Amino acid sequence: MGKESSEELIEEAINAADMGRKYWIRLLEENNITKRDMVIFMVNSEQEYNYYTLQYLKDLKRNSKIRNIFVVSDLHGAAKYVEKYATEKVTFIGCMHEEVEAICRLYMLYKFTRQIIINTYDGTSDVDAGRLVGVGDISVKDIVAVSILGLPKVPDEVK
Amino acid sequence: MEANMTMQMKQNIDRLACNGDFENKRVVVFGSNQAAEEIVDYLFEKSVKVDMLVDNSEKKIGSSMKGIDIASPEEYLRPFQDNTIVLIASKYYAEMALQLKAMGYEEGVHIRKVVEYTGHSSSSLSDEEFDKRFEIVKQGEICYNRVLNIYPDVEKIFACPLTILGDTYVSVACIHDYVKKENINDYLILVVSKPCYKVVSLFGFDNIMQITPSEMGALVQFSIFANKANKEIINLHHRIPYTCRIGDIGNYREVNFMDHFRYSMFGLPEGTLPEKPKGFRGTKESKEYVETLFKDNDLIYGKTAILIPYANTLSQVPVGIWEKITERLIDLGYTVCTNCDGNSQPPIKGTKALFFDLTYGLETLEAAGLLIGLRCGLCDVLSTADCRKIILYPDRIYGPDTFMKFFSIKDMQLAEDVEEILMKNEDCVQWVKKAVKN
Repeated sequence: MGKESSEELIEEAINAADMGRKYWIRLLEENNITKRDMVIFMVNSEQEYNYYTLQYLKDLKRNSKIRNIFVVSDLHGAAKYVEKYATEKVTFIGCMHEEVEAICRLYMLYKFTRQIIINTYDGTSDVDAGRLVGVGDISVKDIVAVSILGLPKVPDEVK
Repeated sequence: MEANMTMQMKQNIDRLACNGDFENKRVVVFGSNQAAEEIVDYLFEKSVKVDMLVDNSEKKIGSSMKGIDIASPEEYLRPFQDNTIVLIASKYYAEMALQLKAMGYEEGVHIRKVVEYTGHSSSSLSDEEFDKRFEIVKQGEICYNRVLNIYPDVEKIFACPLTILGDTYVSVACIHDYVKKENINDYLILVVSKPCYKVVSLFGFDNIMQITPSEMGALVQFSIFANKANKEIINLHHRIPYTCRIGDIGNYREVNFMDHFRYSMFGLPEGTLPEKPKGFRGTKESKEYVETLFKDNDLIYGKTAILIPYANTLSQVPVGIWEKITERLIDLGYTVCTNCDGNSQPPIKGTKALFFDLTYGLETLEAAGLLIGLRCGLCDVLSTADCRKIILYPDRIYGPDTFMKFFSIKDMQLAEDVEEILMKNEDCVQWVKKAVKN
């Protein structure tokens, strides 16, 4: 474990978090995102997580009484993917990787908003609930629905 | 609730009571969670009657808690009645308040926040807030460096962030398996209280360090901000820090409390069993401790029943029920003790107050012969004692399923030989009989 590098690391991280604050404010302003809206960061490197995140948006909206959903992503081809699989009308916002990282870093400093869902565990230094997949009947669908999106259960299959 | 939150809740209720805010009012508590239970208890102590609990959970509507009915907010609070006070202790205060405002109730008049749940959550992006949060991280870094100065060779730090005994016990019960799997030789377990230190010691760990709760809070925040969480530092809690989302999947498809740790946190193979602590059985100190305890309290080996009626994290069972249990046990020839501090937790009528050292808790129980306890963290700690153990579970919901399902000592595989009884309001007498039938 290296304490010698932590000072530099912290300085870098705080600069990133500060940038994240600016990016977040810009994101809200440029897209007219209000307190009743939800911003989903679709940034998981595993496509299955992104797929179910999009598939369950209808239920997310129904459950959380949010007005509009904004999907933010830095992934290649994300716009088309969202258009194809989202079950709810959403606004897609393409983002640079560094912007996503900076906003995640801000989230790691403190929970600055409840309007954000980040659909990866890596990005926020989070315990990976995905490790439960395969234990009993738990599947990726369960992890996305319950752990990531906070739904009470996996929604019925989308036709 | 955490101790500081309980204190805050009590202060706020005291203030409302002093101002006469409960007089001639219908008193409603929004939510039927553990915080609500504590509010009900405290109001009861202050002779304030709670008229209704309201909850948005369809599973809870129509049931009751502590003898108080649970209704939907709309059903009970519409139409608007000015003589209403609604108490809220929830992290969803804003949403709840919004729901009530839509029915005509006003914040500060009818709607009262009794606990501030902001914690890590703040909608402020001001420089002041940002700097305040960064200061916490810096404090965490100082703590981290202090720990590394004392233990320079540690490869991994396990942080038990709370003073809750059960959480500590369960979280460390798989550490030996984990370090073996990851081939970790040097590691350290951080705790925030002496009792937690003792709990960890039961598993034979000697690499334990106690830090203050504020140091721990800062260290945990530092760990996530510096991207060390789940790498160099493992935060052993299913809901701490706020980024940790494994708690949300608790009790879903039979995911129990133990599973959070052995699978989600440690990634151990399915079927891994939690370790059974050896404690200090057979040592000279242990024998002497138990002998002295039994002699000083005039207790009989094998014919002593220890009651655990007080649980910090759960519903309380009416005292009358414990008194019935005590009477039955005395009839059966037991000397009955209440595990309590004797002050804020008085012994049940007919029992002796008994406070024993956690270090020798297993041996104490084994010498006594019988434990009857309300499900709490101490039950986890004592679960492997070789004696008869009867654990009482309140009939309540935890997440999508029952509380008992999530915290069952048997299902968590902490011990196989516990007798677990679900308490239902309507058949208290029945379960008393069941509990002490032999």
